This record gives sequence, C-alpha cells and structure tokens, in this order.
Amino acid sequence: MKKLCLIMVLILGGLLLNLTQVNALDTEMAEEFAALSGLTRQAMELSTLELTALVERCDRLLEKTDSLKASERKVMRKKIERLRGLFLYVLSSKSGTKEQPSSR
Amino acid sequence: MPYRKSSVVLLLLLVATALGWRDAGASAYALPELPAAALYGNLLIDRTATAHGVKPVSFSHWTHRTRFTCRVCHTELEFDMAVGVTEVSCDDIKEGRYCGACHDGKLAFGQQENCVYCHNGDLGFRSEEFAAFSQDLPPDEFGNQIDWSEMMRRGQVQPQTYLREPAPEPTFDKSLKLEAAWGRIPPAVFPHKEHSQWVDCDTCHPDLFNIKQKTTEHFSMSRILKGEFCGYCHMKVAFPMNACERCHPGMSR
Repeated sequence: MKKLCLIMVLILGGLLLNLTQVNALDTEMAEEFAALSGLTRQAMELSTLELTALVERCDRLLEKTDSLKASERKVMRKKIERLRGLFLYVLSSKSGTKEQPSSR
Repeated sequence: MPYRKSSVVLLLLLVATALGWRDAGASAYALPELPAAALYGNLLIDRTATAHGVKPVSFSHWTHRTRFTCRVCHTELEFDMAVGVTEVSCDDIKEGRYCGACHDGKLAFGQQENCVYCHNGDLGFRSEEFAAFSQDLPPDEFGNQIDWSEMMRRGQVQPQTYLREPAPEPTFDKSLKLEAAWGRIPPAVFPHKEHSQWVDCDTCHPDLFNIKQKTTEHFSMSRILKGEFCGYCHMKVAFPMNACERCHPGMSR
C-alpha cells in the first residue's frame, strides 16, 4: 500500500512538474514575443547588426513553437514570421540587399 | 457676336467638366453601404459556437478601442485580423489567454458568470449605449462617426499600448505623399505616426506594403476597396473609404 502511494505521489509530482515547465515555457515565449514585437516600433532606428540579431531571436523563438499545441502554434508561428519579415524588410532596405525567404 | 457666344459656351463646358472630374474619384467606385455608426466594426464570431449549440460571440471594436490600441489584441493577445482564424476556446479564456487576459472577473467582466455578454448572437449588442458613449467625442461623417485620430490628438482617450511588456514609443513618423493615378485626383498623404500609435510596424510591413520590392504602383482604389492594402483595416474598423478627403486632403467632399 505504501509503495502504491509513493508511486502515485511520484506520478502526480511528475505531472505537476511537466505542467509547470510547459507554463514556464509559455510565459517565457510570450515575454520574448512581446519584447520582439515592441522593438518593431524602433526598427528603423536599429543598426544592421541589431536587426540581424533580432532576426536570429525570431528564429530561436520559432523553434520553440514546436512545443505548443497545434492551434497555438499556428497563430504564434504566423505572428513570429511577421516580426521576422519586418526586421528582414528593414534590414534589406538598410543594407540594400534582397530579402531572404523565411528560414522555416 | 457668335465668336464670343461660343467662347462662353466652351468655357462653361470646361468648368462643368472640371467640376465633374473633381468628384469623379468618389463616384467612380462602388463604395459599399455602411452600417449604422453603432454597428461599424462590430463582428459576430462563430468559429464553432453554433456547432456547439451556443450563440455566436458578438464583439464591438468601439467598446474596446478607447482602452486598448489595436496592437494589444492583434499582436500581444494573438488575435488574427481575420475573423475566426484564431482558435479561441473557453478553456483558453479560463487560462487567461485571448479575451481571458482582461476578462477575468477583475479587470473586465468574467467569462463564467456572464456567458450571454459575449455569446448573444446579436451584432448590435450594447448599441443603445453608443449614443451616450460618442456624444462628447470628435465627430466624423462615416464609420463610427467618431474621429478616433482627433480623439487621440486631443488626449481625450489614452488607450493602453501593451499588457505584458512595455512597448517603446514608435520612432518613425515620416509622412508619405502618394501621387494618385488619375491626374485630377490630389495625392494621398500617409502619416506613419497616426498609424503607429495603434499598430506595430509588422502589421503592415512587409506583407501588406512592400514598397521597396513592389513599389506603390498597384495601390489602386479598386484593390483597396476589396480589402487589400489600406482596405485591410479601412473598410472594417478604421474610418471607411467614403471619407475621401481623409487620405486625399486636397479633395472636396
């Protein structure tokens, strides 16, 4: 009986831990997304180096969307792709190069 | 004096043609009929509601945009601009996503005790409050008949720009002058600042406006009226195209 209780506690603990991790990831993603989207408002003032770094941040954020459930992933990816597109757009107008296609 | 007579007739004809041409811009396009002011920008969202035996959700932009800019819902809260694309569920709202970010029973009415506040299937829900809401706001002729830009300029409302992360003030405020395709139509003026106080740059660039690659040649009124370019917002929520002089300041009403 004691053994069964211990197993149950471990399972519940594992589930809770998993849930907390998902929520933490979700919050982290939301914060990073909000920070990136806020920076679009200053994109014209940023240097090409800063813009390149922002495109890379968008790429990293895109990779993290794999952990989201399908409906959230669809919206989030579209939004991040739009941010990435804006930074690339400004970057291309500053550096005089052609925009590159989406990385994903 | 036949010469003088014909000159007068010719002059009159020229004046009449010029006047007719001046108004041709507005009359040449089939502008869609607008709903009543209280209904402009209102939506019924019925992604799965009816299929689940509940009434569609009614949403009015005018009740929300005095408190929040477009970017809060359409960027931070992940609502797509197209109706019904974002898959919002009651569980999501309970978890504080989408509408639930504000409609938690504290900041705004909660979801559980007031189902009918949203699930009412009534496009005109709360429209009886509109007259009182709009009476002291700067008037406009079309759309909600409220000049939202003027309202912002006067500081009558200061809608919140973000919920989670403070969004920096937009720094790019260049006004663009876009020559019209028709010689007699005065150019359109596009002020970045008026727009960036409501939305983030990525709402328009580069998907809607990729001027560097595609130039401005294809910004035709007929395409705008079909919901492309400016029509993405300006036939639905922002002031409609009927207000020619808002974009083409040199045009008469």
